[in-house]
Amino acid sequence: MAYVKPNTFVTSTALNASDIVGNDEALKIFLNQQSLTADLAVDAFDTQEIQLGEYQPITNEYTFATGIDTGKAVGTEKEDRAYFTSNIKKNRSTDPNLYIWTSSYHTGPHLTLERTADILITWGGTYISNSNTNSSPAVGSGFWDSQVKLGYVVDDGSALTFVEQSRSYSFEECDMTNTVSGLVDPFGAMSKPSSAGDETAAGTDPITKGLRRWIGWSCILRNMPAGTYKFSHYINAKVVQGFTSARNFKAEVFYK
Amino acid sequence: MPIVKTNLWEEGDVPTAAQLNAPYNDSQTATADIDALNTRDNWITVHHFNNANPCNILFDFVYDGTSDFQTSSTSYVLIDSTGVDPAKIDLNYSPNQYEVLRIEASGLVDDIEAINTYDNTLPAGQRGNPNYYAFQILLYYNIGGGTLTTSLGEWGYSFTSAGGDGRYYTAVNGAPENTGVPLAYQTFQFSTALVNTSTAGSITYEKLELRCKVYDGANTLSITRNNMIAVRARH
Repeated sequence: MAYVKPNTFVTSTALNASDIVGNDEALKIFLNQQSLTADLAVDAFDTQEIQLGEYQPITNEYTFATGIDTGKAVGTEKEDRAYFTSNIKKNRSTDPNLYIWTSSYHTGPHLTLERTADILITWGGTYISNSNTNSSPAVGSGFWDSQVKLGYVVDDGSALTFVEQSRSYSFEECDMTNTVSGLVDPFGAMSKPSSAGDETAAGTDPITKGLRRWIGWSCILRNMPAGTYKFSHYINAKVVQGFTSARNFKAEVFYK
Repeated sequence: MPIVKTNLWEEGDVPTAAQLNAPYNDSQTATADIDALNTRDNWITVHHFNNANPCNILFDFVYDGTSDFQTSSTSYVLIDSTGVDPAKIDLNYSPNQYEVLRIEASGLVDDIEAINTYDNTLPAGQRGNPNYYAFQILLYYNIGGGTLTTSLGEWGYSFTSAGGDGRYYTAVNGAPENTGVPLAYQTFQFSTALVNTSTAGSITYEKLELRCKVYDGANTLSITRNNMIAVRARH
């Protein structure tokens, strides 16, 4: 509601200092505290009136009036890799039904929401699962499927939450002479090529690279409460050695 | 909003009541219609945006389960993993001129059947075409004469890692060359944007659909989780 002067000056009436002060004080209070949406002209404001964004170079975060843009991106250098292994627990690479989720480091940022928001995340990257060996520890090759998905924890101490919109797979790049050991078949309903078996060993024949899948997804998290979120890619590793590199994580926050 | 003036008096002047009231009356008028003239740059923060009428509006369709949607259709069909909840977003709004609609879509292909990925009876350069499948985002809209549709884009993928005329995995005619493998459990992801160039109120966006097809009806495309996200950036 617009300012209304509390005192009106009338002709031939003695001027009262407190009336002037009262009008001035009421105007100060209105200008500083009481202007409302209804007081604003319609279609009168442009982008220059909207708060400029602020870039935080340490966290690679760009905060602006309606939300936040943040992300993580790395290349293909060895130092960019985030390794994972199945060697954390016995039988991890011999039991397809044993799930041990581990965080892939440097695959997602922290994000602090000041208020309830929707978060749109896009991700793209490579996951490499090297062929298992039969040496110690005894694990078998067999196109193992390591399931990958986004997860996050919140600073309120709640449990890890997985985002099934991002569910993806990385497959062991083993020799075509093997049979499938995992829960899902990287070759689909027809299984592996019928004439497979005459290829050279894994790593020397480009056909094994057919096991490599680019992983890309978008997901939307709606009505996320204010708080600090730690995002990461989680993997149920089924190979002794694997890694992700050349990945790009982008999060866009839309404040409600 | 005009600039509010105050009177200048010199010693001995006797102000009238109207002169004394003028700056306060002008303030009353001005504060009822505040505009950019009397506000500083960068004053609008997130706290000033109207929750009921936001500048960005998000829409989504999310299926994150494990059911399969399978098709061998050579024309685009609507993805529907559960049979009762197809991959569509109801928009039902009329965009302003130059307003942008941004769309993201992604999903996971799973147990594909790559029966025919090569055909040497086709002209050279097209023999690998049976290897392809594709996705499409279709917009339903109305300009006053009933519902119309337009494709906002098509995105192609291949059933196997083989490509071209010399490398193939299966063949209708010609011996298979085992130089590729079927690519099951690969993700798909794409995005596009649409700018409305028509005048405000002249077009209504009704809905978006996520669709798919195969090039060769002998092959079966199988899709599990899938989603579509649309961002209306109001202008």
